[in-house]
Amino acid sequence: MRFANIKFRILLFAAALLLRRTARKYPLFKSRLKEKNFTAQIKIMDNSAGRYFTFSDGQIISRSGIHSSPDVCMAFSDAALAGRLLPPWRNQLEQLDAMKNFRLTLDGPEELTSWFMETLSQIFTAGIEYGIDVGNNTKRYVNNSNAGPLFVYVKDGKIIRITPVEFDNSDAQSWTIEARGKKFTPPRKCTLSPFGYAMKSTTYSPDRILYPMKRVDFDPNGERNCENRGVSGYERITWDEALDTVANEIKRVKRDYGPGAILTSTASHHTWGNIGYYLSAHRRFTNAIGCTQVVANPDSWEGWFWGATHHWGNTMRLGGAEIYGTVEDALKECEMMVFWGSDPESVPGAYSGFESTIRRQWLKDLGVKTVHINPYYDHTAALMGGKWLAPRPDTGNAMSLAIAYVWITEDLYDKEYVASRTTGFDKWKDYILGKEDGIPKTPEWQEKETTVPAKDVRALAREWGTKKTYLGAGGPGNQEGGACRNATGLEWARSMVCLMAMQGVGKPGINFGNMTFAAPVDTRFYFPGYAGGESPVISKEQPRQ
Amino acid sequence: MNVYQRMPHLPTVNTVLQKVPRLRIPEAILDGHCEGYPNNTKTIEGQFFKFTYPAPGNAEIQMYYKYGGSYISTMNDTNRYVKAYRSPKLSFVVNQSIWMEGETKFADIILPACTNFERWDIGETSNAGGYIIHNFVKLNHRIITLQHKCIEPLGESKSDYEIFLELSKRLGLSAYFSEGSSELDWCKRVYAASDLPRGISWKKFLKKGYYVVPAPKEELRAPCAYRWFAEGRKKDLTEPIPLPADYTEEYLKGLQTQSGKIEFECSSLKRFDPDDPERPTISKYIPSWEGHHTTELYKRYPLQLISPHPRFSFHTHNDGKDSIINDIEDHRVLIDGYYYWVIRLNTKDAEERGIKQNDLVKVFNDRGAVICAVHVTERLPSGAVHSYSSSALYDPVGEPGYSIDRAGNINLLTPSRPIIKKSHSAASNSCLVQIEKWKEPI
Repeated sequence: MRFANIKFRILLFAAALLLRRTARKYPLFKSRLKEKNFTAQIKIMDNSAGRYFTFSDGQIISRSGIHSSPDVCMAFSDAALAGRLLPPWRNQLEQLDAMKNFRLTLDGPEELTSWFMETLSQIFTAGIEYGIDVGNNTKRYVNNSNAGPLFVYVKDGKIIRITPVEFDNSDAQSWTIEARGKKFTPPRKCTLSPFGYAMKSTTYSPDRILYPMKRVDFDPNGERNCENRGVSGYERITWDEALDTVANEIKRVKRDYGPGAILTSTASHHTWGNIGYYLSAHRRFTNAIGCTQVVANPDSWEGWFWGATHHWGNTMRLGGAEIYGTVEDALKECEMMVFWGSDPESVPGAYSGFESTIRRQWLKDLGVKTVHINPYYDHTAALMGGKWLAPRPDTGNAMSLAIAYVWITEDLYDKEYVASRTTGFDKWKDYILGKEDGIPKTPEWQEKETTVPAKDVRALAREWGTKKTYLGAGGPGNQEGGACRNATGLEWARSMVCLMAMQGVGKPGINFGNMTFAAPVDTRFYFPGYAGGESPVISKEQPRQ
Repeated sequence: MNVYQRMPHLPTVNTVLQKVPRLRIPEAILDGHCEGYPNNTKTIEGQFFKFTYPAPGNAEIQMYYKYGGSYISTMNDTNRYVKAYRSPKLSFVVNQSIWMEGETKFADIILPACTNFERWDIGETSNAGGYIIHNFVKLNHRIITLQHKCIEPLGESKSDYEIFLELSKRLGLSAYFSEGSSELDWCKRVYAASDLPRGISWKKFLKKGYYVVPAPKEELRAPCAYRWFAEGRKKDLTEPIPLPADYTEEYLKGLQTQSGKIEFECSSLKRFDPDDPERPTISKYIPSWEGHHTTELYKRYPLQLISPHPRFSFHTHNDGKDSIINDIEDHRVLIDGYYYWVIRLNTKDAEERGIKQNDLVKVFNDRGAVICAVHVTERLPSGAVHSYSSSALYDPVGEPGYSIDRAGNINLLTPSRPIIKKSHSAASNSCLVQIEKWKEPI
């Protein structure tokens, strides 16, 4: 106990020294110290030890002991705890635990407690060095985005160029897949979606909001003129006025109406990063004040979530397929790839730039045939050069049923798999053959709906039923985008699962995918994603758009 | 571990249980009531639990704290949202935004946020956590970045974290919100909680800014999806969220369905509503409720518009705002000094309407009207038209919510009804429209 007490005293003494040393070394920190005049006490709760710090016009006076009337008081239940939590290498969970159990308290006006904590923290971050000097007074920094990772070149405090990240020799080696006598290794750089190259222009956009603003005819204490929203202009106000207005409105609404009267929601795909992202800082704050949250629909997944999931589960993947190992399997085994409402060259699902373009190029080099079903001759079809079938929009499920019809009537499906891995096939089979409603779902029947010639659908079904085939349904090969977002999207996504079940999904060369999922990267290395490693239930209640 | 699983908001718990379905926000505000189905992904039946607004004992919405923009133009039948914003029933709107976009100008107070180039952060490319599980397997290399503060915030803009901290100070919440950590401190906490320290020191990470996760040895690569299932083995994938209670026989054996197998006839639908004509227990052909079979509507609006996610921007991200993307002619076309959104029309359909390449047209139906620039193409069959969704701008030529939009809000035209009644869903990809040449001056 005595040792802990001595350690505590030494740490506090060191803190005073470090504050002065940091101020001497870094002018910004020094000028910061001039911002406030007050006294902060750090002590053990029973007053057995302590030190106070008086900030006065940039000077720090520090004395051992207990001050009679400090403005800010940070108190620890015991010296041992203080000894563990004061150094910057503290265990943050222990700090939280101490706060929750009132073993660590902080009292004083918010403005001062907050300033004091930030100042202590800045002892260790003032003047940090970061980024790579590339000469010509230019530094290369790193950032990240929905479009991919970025090198950001900065000169004289201004971004002059943004480029994709290119690896150097000290970065980890890439993987190699051996397939059909060839070796495939990805290039040593990252790719960016088109909008990644636009980020310098949008950062310096004339549409940036540079100051807090108030609608000219909005008066929180008088006429609000709500009906003029979207029409009236704005005037610049100070941060204090803006923040006071918002804080006062939060209090007013809670006081006058009770819980639930504040609605909050965000745009998803905001700016990248685990700290500032819409699921972190925003959620942390709005939870703390108590808000009615907006429940998102699974907007890019609709048919999979409300439809396909009932056939095979995968709720955590919103009804989409498992995603692993399919790039290697397709390169080694697959004989044909069907892209159905699937244009990864335009929209490969979220956040992955053009990472998978090279893999589709490999598939083309291996001579794997492709088919593209989409009313629009999309950019993937243009790149791959496969057969294009253009159904009338929102009728695609007629074509799926006709494919099943050909497989059933011409014995082109995996009967053993259907018998041992599925249930309920006979009921669907009866419907396909017309036993339920008197309408056999023939290729000719579908032609009336889709306008795609019966002979083309029959040919596709025969080839699909005899070749090891991958089905890319939706942007990344299953899930997001495409036909699942139509009025008939549920039934279409459901049939995608049923068709693959008839062909034996999971057997070599037979799976969901269009080369977007999944490269053989490490799935065991832990780094939390922006929605963390927690149950997606919470995050999926967040908006997606 | 030195952080919560999800950072930095997990220790805060929202005590408000009231929820509003996103597609029904306008009805919640304007009508004072609505209902929805949840997005509960824990179990197949999670999506069946209908909820209503207002929730028991909760107030109707008075204040809207909107973070960023995008509902105006990404939500179906967008004019509904415009009308809700202009209602006096909503007594206060604050928008925290980086740019003056379509939705921002409907706020009473605007708080200027900065971009991620102007603040500290940490993040892995394409890692969405539970949002899209293991989404980084789309990449050729896993890459984790320390997102450097590259430049100072422009003007008086502040980071979102700082804005929330400033508000927290006014509500007595600052210690609770920040735990004494700055944004950079939080970055280091995330670094320390991950596997990164085994691969790269903090000092080096701070300087270099990124770390490439080594590819696993061939023997340690994830096995192929569904191989275990096809071969009748236990699941052998690195499944991060296994949901043990959802296995019927043995843990990790079989699928999440009641039978553990792929069900052509869905047992969950048989239990929930076997007679739902919109979602039968097996997949059937159900003609579209807005297509060539809806005869009356089809007569007036004979073109079927498909409106997928945009190719060049990411929803509203990096569209408009003087973005260089605007100069891609497959995205927007500059005509008389204005960047118009592009709509693609088959040659025959264009000829019938006397429309040529880059003509301005009015695309419309009963829900609204949008002015677009035409690309005449053979990449679509006659009767189908194509335009990406999600213009970042909203520029009504008259009264907001009731007039033609010049900025390309295709979702003014899409239906607000759910795909099936027993869901909270949107058919954003398709609707019926008519197109005519725009002849008036703007």
